[in-house]
Amino acid sequence: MKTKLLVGISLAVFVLLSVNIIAFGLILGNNQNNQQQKIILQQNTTAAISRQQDPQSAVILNNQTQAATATSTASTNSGSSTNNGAASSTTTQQNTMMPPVTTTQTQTKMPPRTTRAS
Amino acid sequence: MGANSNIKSKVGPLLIILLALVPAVIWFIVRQGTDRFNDYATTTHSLGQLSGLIGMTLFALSFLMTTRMKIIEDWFGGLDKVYKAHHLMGVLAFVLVLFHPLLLVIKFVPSQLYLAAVYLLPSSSWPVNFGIVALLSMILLIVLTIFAHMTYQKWKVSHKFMGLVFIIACFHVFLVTTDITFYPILKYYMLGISFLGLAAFSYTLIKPVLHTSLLYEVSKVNTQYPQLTLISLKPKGNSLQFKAGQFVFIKIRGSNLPKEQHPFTIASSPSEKEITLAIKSLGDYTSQLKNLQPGTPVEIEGPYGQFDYLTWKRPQLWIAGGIGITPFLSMASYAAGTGQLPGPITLFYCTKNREESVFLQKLEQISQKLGQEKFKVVLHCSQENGYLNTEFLGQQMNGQGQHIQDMDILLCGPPAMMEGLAKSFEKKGIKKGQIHYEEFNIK
Repeated sequence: MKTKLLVGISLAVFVLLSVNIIAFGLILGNNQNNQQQKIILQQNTTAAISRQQDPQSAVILNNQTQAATATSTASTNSGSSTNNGAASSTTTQQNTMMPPVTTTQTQTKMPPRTTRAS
Repeated sequence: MGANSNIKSKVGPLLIILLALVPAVIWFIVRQGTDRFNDYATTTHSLGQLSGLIGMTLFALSFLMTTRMKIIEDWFGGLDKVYKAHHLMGVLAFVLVLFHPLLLVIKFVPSQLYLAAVYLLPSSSWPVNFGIVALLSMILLIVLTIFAHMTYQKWKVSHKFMGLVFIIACFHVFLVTTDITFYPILKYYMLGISFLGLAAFSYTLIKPVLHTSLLYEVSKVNTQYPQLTLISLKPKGNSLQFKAGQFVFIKIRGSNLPKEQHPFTIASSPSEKEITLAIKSLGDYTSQLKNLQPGTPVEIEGPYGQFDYLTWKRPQLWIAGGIGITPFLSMASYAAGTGQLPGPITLFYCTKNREESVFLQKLEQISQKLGQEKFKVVLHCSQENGYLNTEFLGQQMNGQGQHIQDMDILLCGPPAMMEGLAKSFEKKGIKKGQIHYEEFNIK
């Protein structure tokens, strides 16, 4: 009787915990993915709208990006290996300080036609 | 002699505790200086590792208990105690193994719940998958063993699959990257224990082929008493050497009966050539035994059990409940034949009513032969006098000029009756070492 009770309670605890962990873990994991995708979508939409409404700022943003790329390339070409490392690290820092997914998405999802139009 | 056997019977449990704790001790030594119990995450992780190590060791050792080896029986004080230990070890191993994955993932809760969920589910990692398969199979088999009311035959077959579960668990233990991988001493200890478990399991599988049993045949089947079958067996070669009160496993060949082994206590004296088994119809198998025909071959494995009245040297109080009379029948017959008695003996034969007390006449004849002062039989019918209790026993013994505190008490009967009486005796100040019992329920 005692062993039945011990096994019964242990099994109940195991089932309760594992089922909850798996169920909530998967649901939350799914939600997090969905939220991330939502954020990306929102940012893309916001960026696209702002470009359409205010092409000037889009040009500024585009110019800034081009300038940063140029600086980075210049220091890579002209500097020593140490400078090269420093320049690279600056670029990397900029990228890592921003939410990585958002950064990537902003760069890749930017509509090329808008850039050309500006 | 009695004290020696008491000490000897503690060797087994102590050895098992020691062997089960060794991996934990090794783990503590080899992991010195590393993060073990610094915070919630490391503590739960460490407990998860320990539960896995101890659980797996107990799982392996539980197979040793099923080999019915004489040395193991001696270390535990009887095969019934060995099976009791096996049952307990199996349950403990199960509980520890059950909490092993939970304790390992609990550190991810609640902040990284997704990681915890992924950890508990099958993945591309086969070593982890082996663990998941072993755990789920173990859950299924333990639930079947403990909660499902299966026939003895089905239960035995299902229990054999535990060996397969153990092999899968071994793949998990030795393939997954853990402390066992990094610390050779822990690896070799776990390898040794696992090998022991696998060897024990293999031995139980090949045992039927090894012909360790003796061949007998049915000479007489007596079905004159309701719900009771008396089977006499005569040897077809070497005869069994046993002590009064011991039991054997029998397997009946060449009949429609299931071919698995069943344990029964011998009711006849060791000095008789034939063996008599008194079997009560309690289930499918025992109900069919009355149909046995003389000449049917029977394999006998044994003898087992350490319920030998000559082990203890004080005056004795024997208490038999129902079919629990069988070992006492053997002892009384042997005493009548040889005159070997450790002191005065009083037997309380407990049945529901007088019709059930089928062996009373035989016991009274033995009592007359030996003399009432040496061997006295008292019939106690629960329908007339209620259940037997220690107050009544105390009064009866005082009436004979004896005190139960100075006696060895031998019990055999339904588990509830034995447990209840043993507790009452202990409350009356009788030491555990004075109370001796044999449990029928080996399953």
